[in-house]
Amino acid sequence: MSVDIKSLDQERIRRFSESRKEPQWMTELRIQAFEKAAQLPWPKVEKMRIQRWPLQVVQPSGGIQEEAFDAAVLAAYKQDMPWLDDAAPNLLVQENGTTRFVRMDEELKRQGVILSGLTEALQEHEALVREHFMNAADVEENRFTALHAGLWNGGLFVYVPRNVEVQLPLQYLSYFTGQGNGCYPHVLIVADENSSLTVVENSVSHAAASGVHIGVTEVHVKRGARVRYVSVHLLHEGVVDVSYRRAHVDQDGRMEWVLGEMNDGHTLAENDSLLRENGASSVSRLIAIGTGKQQSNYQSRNRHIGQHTTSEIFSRGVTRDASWLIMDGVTKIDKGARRADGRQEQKVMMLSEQSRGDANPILYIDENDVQAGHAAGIGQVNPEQLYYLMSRGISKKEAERLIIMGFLEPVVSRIPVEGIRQQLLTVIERKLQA
Amino acid sequence: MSIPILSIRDFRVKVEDTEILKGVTLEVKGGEVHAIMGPNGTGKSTLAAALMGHPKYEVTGGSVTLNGEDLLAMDVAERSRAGLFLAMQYPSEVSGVTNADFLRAAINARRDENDQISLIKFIRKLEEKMNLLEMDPSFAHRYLNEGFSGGEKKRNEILQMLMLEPQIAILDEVDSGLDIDALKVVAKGVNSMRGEKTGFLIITHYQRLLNYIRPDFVHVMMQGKIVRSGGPELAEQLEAQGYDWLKEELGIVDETVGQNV
Repeated sequence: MSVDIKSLDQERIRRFSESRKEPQWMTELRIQAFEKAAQLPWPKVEKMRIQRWPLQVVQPSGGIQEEAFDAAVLAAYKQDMPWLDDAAPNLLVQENGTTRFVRMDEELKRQGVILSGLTEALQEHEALVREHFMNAADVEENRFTALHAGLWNGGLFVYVPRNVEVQLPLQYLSYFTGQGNGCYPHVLIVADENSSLTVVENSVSHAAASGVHIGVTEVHVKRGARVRYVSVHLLHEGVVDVSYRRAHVDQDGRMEWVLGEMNDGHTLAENDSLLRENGASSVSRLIAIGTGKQQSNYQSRNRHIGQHTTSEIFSRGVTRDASWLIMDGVTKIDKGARRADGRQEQKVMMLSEQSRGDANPILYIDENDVQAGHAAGIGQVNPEQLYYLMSRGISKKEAERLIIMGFLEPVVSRIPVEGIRQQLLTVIERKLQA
Repeated sequence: MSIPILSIRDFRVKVEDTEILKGVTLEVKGGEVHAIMGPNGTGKSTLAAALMGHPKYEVTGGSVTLNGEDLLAMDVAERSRAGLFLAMQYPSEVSGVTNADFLRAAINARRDENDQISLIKFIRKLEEKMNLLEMDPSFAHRYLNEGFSGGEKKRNEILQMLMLEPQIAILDEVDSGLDIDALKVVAKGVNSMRGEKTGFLIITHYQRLLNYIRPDFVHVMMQGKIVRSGGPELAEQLEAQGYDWLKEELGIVDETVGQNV
């Protein structure tokens, strides 16, 4: 195992926390989590031996941005990421966890909406952060979650007050640079009762970047609120990406995950929705492409506790080269969750002989009065579809491309920011080029 | 442009280990409408699919040329670009690809890379043809055949034919499952293309389509061969009297070939 925890110790973590002027409780939370990490097991991932991935757990980078934000910063980032929507009214940009730019619509500010770096939010909205931080996610779930809680070094805080509907997406760009870095972004979203919002998170690395990226996203969907969380990950081969995404959904709340997993490096990603009160619902849509020798594992889970709760999982994977991609869906319906309805569908298209794709629908149902359905499929490009498109003069290569793009379309079309959608398409095209 | 000619000579085809076509010879020229009739399982649809190059069918003998070019040496896409079109009996559904995007790709596939159709021209043509076929404009943005009814799929096949303007168009049971109004619309689409530039090969069980698209030649297939050819009066006779008289005349007991393919 290549985890290098020795270079870290309590004292360093304390100094890191203090340098960021964090409250005492956070410093203590970090130290305790870090101590636990050493005793906790790695997450249990079926079949895949993630312990063999290059997991250099290193000192988190970044401090607090002292200088004033100005638009010149954006121009520099736009050089690296031409798709960056630098005119977006609601935008937060971080590099290695340090906030470099933030802008929010004045009207939203007046309505009490908060869009801030998490580090900054800890100063200005401490009570809100304290109430929700590592609450939907569990510090002690496994070694990754504990390491993250100990080492988190940036991220996003969003709060939308009761009855406020935010129309335009709140955009968060997280940029990973440097070699051998550790980036541990934490996204914390609190949607108060009957509010609605869309957050679009785009995690990108510089082409030469390497290291580990262990992120946690927590979404608190209060009564009647609706949250759409869109995440597009475009991390390069040298970066191992681990994402734990957790939502707590209260009565009649609705959570929607839209996930474009387009990393080149090893990836472990989970999105869970806990439907803990009556009428709560969750929809998860995920696409991923495995290339090269990439190993990736995507888990989408819904747990039904409340009555009349509904959930849907829709995952699409494509494998090329010698990649290995696992896509699991887990629907758990607790005793008492009457009239719950859980559906899932996973499909993996394998484009090469050497690649491997697994799709596993898993249902645990402890209540009789429910509906549940699942479908899973693994296959190649459908030859009848190929024949049909070719019979109209479209070349085999172009026909395959159309079929694969169509296969991924249900997620691509749901990315609400034009630039990010186009960049996602560009990366998909690159990954599919032979 | 000279008049297109599809020339089929002693065409033999097998599926897995069963020979289905046992020497079909036929010539279709621009301006002509040929109807191929015959009971189920006699090889009519195999002829259509094998001409288009469906991978399931293996050609075991004979030749097929389009304007003198060897059609059998081309892959499926090349056959289409050479001018062949097949309106399929069971067209595939392709999720996530809109009808309009698909059609534009198909049109551009037969044009030079530096001479792709402009969006405006494309949309104008698409609207015109959809209008002719009385199709709701929303069909342009729906996923290719996904959730279409049987009749909608058939109309969509004819739409593709009108957009691609083939030299030789094969219609494989385009009338099956259509009510009379839909049938008239399909016939209107086909008739709008009649002329020297296009030859038609229409495969059908029933004579009723031929009330709306009057054929110049009628052929009957049995046991994987064309057993009788004639003019439109042959179709009328078959409609009135069925196939038994012909089987008797030819001494055929079982007209099918293979396992009801």
